[in-house]
Amino acid sequence: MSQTNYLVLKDINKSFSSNHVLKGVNFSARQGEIHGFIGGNGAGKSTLMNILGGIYEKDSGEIYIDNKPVFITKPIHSIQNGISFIHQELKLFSMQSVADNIFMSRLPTKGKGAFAIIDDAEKNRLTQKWLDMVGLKVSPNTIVNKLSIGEQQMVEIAKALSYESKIIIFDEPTSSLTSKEANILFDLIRKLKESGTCIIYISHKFEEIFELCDRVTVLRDGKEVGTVNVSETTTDELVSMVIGVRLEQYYPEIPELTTNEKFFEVKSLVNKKLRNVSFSVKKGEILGIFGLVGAGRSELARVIFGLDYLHSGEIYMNKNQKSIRSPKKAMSAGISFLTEDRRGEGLILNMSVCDNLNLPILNKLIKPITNWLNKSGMKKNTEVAIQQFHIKASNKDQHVKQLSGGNQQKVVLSKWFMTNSQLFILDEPTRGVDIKAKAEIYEAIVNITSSGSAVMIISSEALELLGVCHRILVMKDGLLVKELMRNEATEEKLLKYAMGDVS
Amino acid sequence: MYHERWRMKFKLSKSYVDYIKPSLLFVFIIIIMVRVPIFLKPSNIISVLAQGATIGIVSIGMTMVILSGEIDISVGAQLYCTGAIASEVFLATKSILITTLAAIVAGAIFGLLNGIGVAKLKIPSMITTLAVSNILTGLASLLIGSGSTLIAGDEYKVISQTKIFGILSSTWIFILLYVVFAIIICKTRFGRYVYAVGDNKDALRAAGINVDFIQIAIFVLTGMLCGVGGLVSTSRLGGSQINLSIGTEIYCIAAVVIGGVSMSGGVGNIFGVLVGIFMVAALDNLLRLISVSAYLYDLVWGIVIFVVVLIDVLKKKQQIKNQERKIPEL
Repeated sequence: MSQTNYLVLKDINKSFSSNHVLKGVNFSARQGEIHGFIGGNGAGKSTLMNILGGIYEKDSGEIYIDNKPVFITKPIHSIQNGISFIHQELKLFSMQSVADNIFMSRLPTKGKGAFAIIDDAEKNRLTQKWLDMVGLKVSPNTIVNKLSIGEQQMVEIAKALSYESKIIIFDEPTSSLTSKEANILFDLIRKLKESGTCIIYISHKFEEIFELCDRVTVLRDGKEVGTVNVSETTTDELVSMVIGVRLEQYYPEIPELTTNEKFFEVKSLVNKKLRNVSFSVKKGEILGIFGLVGAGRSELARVIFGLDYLHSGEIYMNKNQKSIRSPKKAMSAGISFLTEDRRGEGLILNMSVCDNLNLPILNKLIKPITNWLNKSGMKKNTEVAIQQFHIKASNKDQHVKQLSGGNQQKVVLSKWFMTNSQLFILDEPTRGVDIKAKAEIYEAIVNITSSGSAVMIISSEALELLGVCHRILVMKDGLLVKELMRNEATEEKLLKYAMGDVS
Repeated sequence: MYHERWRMKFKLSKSYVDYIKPSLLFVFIIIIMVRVPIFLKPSNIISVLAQGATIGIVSIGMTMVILSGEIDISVGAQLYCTGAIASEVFLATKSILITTLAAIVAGAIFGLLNGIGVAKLKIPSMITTLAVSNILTGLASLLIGSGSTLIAGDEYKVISQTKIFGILSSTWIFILLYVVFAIIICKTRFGRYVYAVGDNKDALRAAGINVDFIQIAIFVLTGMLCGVGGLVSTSRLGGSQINLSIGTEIYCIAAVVIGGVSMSGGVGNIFGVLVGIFMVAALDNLLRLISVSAYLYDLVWGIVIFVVVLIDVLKKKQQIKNQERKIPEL
């Protein structure tokens, strides 16, 4: 490893509308090193790397490669400067051949121009060379979607190598790989390092950082916390760097559970993302599900609500087995689900507060004989909800798209809370919501449990779960890896289990 | 559990959807052989080829458009308008060369209009080409005027009705264009880009290719092919008439989709489309031979398109389902 910095990012700033994501980040990496890059959800890792990859344009700051300033505003600039970005969601032409994927932008031809005839023999020869380099044993003519995800990733790497990239960024490359495939990938990354490539490795998993990386940089709240040598650090140090010191938030009083009666239970849920998940919920309980992005938290909720395909497993409601194959069945079984995509799936933005609030219970608001909607009933419901949940709307007919994020979220919450379900699953209920609205949402959650309903909160904010939950389950790679009671859970413990360091 | 596994195995092995199209083709061929023996006479085959020439020429363009993940429903109107322009120009100049150039340039301009709408203004191609279609229909009807026919004279028929080696020149024009475009689509960089646009536009942009240019070029080439098509179709009749060729887009889309090109883009090949073109021309001819009421034509073609696209969609759905239900080994 050379000791001089090859890639240097200086004082990078980036905002999305009012959201200041990167606040003057500095970052540097050397040739022949594997540089780990970690941080909590929303710390700005992906934003920074997307700036380097030319996907986003930075607001201010400088990028130097080999001491020369470079300007990257488009993906093509990034390629020209020897940077390759291997995205978590692969960017391949899935219906075209391996060779076409690698050489799409510079297909070898016998003449010049767009209408020159492609030299297929040359294309396949060049492709074979790079496939050999990454050790992928497939024909250059194979259609990409016939390959496994791991093999597709190898195609992306072969493409990166074919550009003779000096800097390769991996964004959570193992998230959809089997452990065998991951090992092949690690060997390849080490080989690249020996040949002098500068590798930036974004990951959520500490075990990978310790196995693979030379140095690691930690990012928190849009600012780098520091860079440490992996050989000189510990998991505990990294965890405390990722967490930092947080501001106190307001959490309501959590009432003690009055009953031990399990009313909802799932057994051995298995599907594309879940591997044998079993747990139960008690009446009046607030259960937290913690895990990093991609751990299978949302998939768990979606399966219970009948949105995703369930391969095998059993769901019991009040000791009766339920076959939940659609959201409609889930709702009639007494389950409500608040999606994490508030604007896309939770609300109809161009409809009024009143219309949105009454949507799930319209069938109960129909007048006899005429079948007309009971407008006064709707109005009454809305007034109750606005008062109870402190929704700040100018009147009940205001369009929800004009409300702030926090108030929109309160509309979604109260909409589901009016359905009298027994189990509410809330996916990231406070995402993008200010502190005051958060406190009000927590209060609403606690209030709804007083009637005996239970709430499952899925969140990547450990503090929030510690503040409102009776019990927290930690997920990792589609498995429940740990169950922590309210009194034994700490932020450090949650992160440690979620990132896979169980020592 | 056992039952479930057995069911999965059965579904994963080979989807029943794969068998629908070949069996429909088979039934179709049997019906022709048994019911309409005239169909296979050489003279009828030559006439099928001549009638199919216009549809064939335009289907080449439609293939590129659909491969790129878009649709062009203005091709019927483009044929109508370029045909009317060609007839007018021939009437005025009596020159085959100038007439041909005029038709192709007019088509290129119409294609450019479509291309800019889709690539630059980002209006969905369905809407862009629908609007252009109406504009061109109006324009052509104005050109033809109150007489509802526009006779260009018998000399005009030379373009498509000359017999070379016993086959009409319109068929030869189609064969020539088909070969040229087959090479472009299969063998050139541009051809690869056409597939890539339909497959993953973002990835192509990230590879540094000017995606807008490719999309516009596809529509312009399609417009130029429509220009040739308009020339051939009006030359066959010796002039144009009100609403000639309107509605041809449905035959072209049918030919391309029967030929195995996926409506969502990126998949298919021009050789399949040749079969599709022949199938469409044959079915059209057959409907005439068994004297089906003209009122039923639209109905038949609507059903054909619907069924073929349905097969395509079912196939895709099956694939997604299989993918989703597969449990990755860990």
